[in-house]
Amino acid sequence: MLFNSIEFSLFLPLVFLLYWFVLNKNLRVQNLLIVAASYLFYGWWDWRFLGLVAFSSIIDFLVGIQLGKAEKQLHRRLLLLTSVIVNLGFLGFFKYFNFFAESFAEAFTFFGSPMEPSRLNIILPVGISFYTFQTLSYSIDVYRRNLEPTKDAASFFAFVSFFPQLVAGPIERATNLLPQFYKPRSFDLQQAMDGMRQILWGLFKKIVIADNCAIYANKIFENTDWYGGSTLFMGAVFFSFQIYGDFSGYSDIAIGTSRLFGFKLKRNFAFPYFSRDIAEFWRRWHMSLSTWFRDYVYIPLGGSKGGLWPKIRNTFIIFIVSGFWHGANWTFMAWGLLNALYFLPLLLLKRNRRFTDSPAEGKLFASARELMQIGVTFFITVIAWVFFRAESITQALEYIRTIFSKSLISWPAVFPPMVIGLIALLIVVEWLQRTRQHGLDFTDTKIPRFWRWVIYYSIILVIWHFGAEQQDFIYFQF
Amino acid sequence: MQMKKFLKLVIVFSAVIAGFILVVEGVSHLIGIPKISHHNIRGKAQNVMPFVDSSAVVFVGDSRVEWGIKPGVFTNECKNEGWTACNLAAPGSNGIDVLKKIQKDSIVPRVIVIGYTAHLGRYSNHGLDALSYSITERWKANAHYWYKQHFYISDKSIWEWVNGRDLYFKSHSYDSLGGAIVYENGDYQNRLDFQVATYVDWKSTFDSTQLRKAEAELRKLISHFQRKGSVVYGVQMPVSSALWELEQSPYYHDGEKMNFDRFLDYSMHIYEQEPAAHDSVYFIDGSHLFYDYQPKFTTVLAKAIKEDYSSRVE
Repeated sequence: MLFNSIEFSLFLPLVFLLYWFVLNKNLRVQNLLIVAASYLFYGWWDWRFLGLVAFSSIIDFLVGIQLGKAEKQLHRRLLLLTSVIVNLGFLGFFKYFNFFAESFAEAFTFFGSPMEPSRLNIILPVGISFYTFQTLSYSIDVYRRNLEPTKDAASFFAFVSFFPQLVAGPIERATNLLPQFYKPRSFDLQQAMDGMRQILWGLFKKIVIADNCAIYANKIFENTDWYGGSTLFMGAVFFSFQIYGDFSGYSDIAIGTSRLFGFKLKRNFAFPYFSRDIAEFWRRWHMSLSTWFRDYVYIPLGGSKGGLWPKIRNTFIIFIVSGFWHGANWTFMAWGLLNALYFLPLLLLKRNRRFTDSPAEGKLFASARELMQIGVTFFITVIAWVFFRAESITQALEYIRTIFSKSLISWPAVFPPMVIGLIALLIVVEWLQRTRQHGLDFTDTKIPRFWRWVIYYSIILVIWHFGAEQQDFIYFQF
Repeated sequence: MQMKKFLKLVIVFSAVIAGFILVVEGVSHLIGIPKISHHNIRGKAQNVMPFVDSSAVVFVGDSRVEWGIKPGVFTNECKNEGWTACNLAAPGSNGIDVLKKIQKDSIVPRVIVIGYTAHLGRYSNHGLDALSYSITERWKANAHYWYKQHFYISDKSIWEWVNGRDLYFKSHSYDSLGGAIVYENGDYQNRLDFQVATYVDWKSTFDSTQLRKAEAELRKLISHFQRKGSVVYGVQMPVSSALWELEQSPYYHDGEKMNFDRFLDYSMHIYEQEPAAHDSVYFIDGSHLFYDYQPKFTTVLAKAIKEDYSSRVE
């Protein structure tokens, strides 16, 4: 079920009313309602893969209980290994089988022994990368004794399948979300109101920004031979806003929806395109995944301890694995590698934590220096997105080569004023709100209610008038 | 208390939107604002696909085939053979999605007729192979079409009216075998101009790689159906001279080179002894046959296919 669908607009109020008015007396029943609603939400896309979500949940629930009982280190390790093998095994099979089979065959062909890869017709279950990482975090945290194993199956199943963030995150940690299922939730008006505003802003980013940018990004990326450098650059810019609007919009809707049910999810995006260097960008983009890799991969590898080379090695591993997490294609790995290369000078110069505040803190406009920093960071990010969007590394390299050709100095053949105006609107609103949680965060604002309502209705009108044809969320495929 | 306040705010907020919608819809209906006409492509596929079986003659292709071929006329012409014609062509379709769907269902139609144009590579299809086909889905598709046809806000018909843009079509629906039933507002000269402008643009951005890619995909599907026993025809639908000139250069329609069992080229003459096709008299907008000529052309095509098919069977 898509957030921007008629089905969801009926589903959400129905679950909301059942949750707060019918089943609000019993916490366990309320949690079971969340499980049922989440399975319905997921099964709407393809009910056959519900078994995978359920199986992952059962395995990690049982592993958690056994970890609570086991004392011997070997026993505990074996239990953790079971969880890792099951979760990454599913992920590996559904997402990476064909990629490895084909790469293996290509390697044989390269060395002179042509080989036909055995390809399976595998459908990628929606959101598998998200919920496997989420449930895996539980087993790891219990193994590390950072979290008490739960014996409450309803809470655990609700934690794994919680519908707002099941298919595209934010990737929640058991330490943050699971305890929220243990406690009775009380309705908080301010949280719910701000949740509604966040949903509205998420819908704007998805329907107006992402879906409109998708039309032009697709047109340009699918016909790269026809266009010159300036148009290809515009295509990459459109894709940059498409992926931002799509993914951060989804996160906003997920976080806002959770708040209606009394849950607080992690923040996933913090206006990343206002970053002043690539290190800041990665602290602001897909934060739930970055911190997941930091805590469960980077730190266990040694993190930033042990000298320069291990630090560089660990950084490269993190970026490349993060790229590979996004998809079974060399292009994603190249995207990760390129970001690692961007990051390297900052790491070597120990300048990767220069910007931990908000850009233009306390001021309306950024200084020329900050503008320059933001511009350069955005530019290199746009170039990296070319690898993310391209069908192959060859296409990406050719695309970038054309961008940096003489044809860059020409008026783009694709220059839709309406979409550019909408992007400008997004940038202005987010810039003004950059110290807040989201574009419509009016908590403790001085704007009178009348004008706030005018803003809400205006956004609804903009969504209605400029909303493009419904497209799937990009991050469903990851 | 907090919940009560929240619900009150949500209800008031929604009521304003609902009121706005009611007023706009009501006024639009009352003063009769022209409505954008939609194509019920998914509903058509849901309705027609159940008729596709081993005795079917399946037509796929773009809007030229969709308009030009009357499946009822074709079925009637072939009643002795017991064939049922199903027109699954749709605007902007190269038929690949339909053929994939039929292949997926392991159906082997008696005859497949594919509309061939040099624009095959440009078309993006309608994802008909990815749909699930059931009574519920049919109901959903038709209900969605009904909603789009009758509500002004959802498709922004009002803006077309406000901006003074002409709407060519009043409605666009299909009969049970997929034949198009179209009611329109005339304005043929404007439509011809629009078609010519579109084809001029297409000519300037023609990409032979895309065409070859689509042809390669079609070839595979054609081979599959031929191996299973279907006879596959390619058909070049007639168009007006203005468009024909644009389509001829800089590329050439090489339908003959495709692996059709036979390529029926009607680009130069529409039917039997009538004059050359390059005459706007026969076309609504240069690209689609006029209503009178649709059944005539269908009859000519049916005769040609019957004759060729019987010679193969003998």
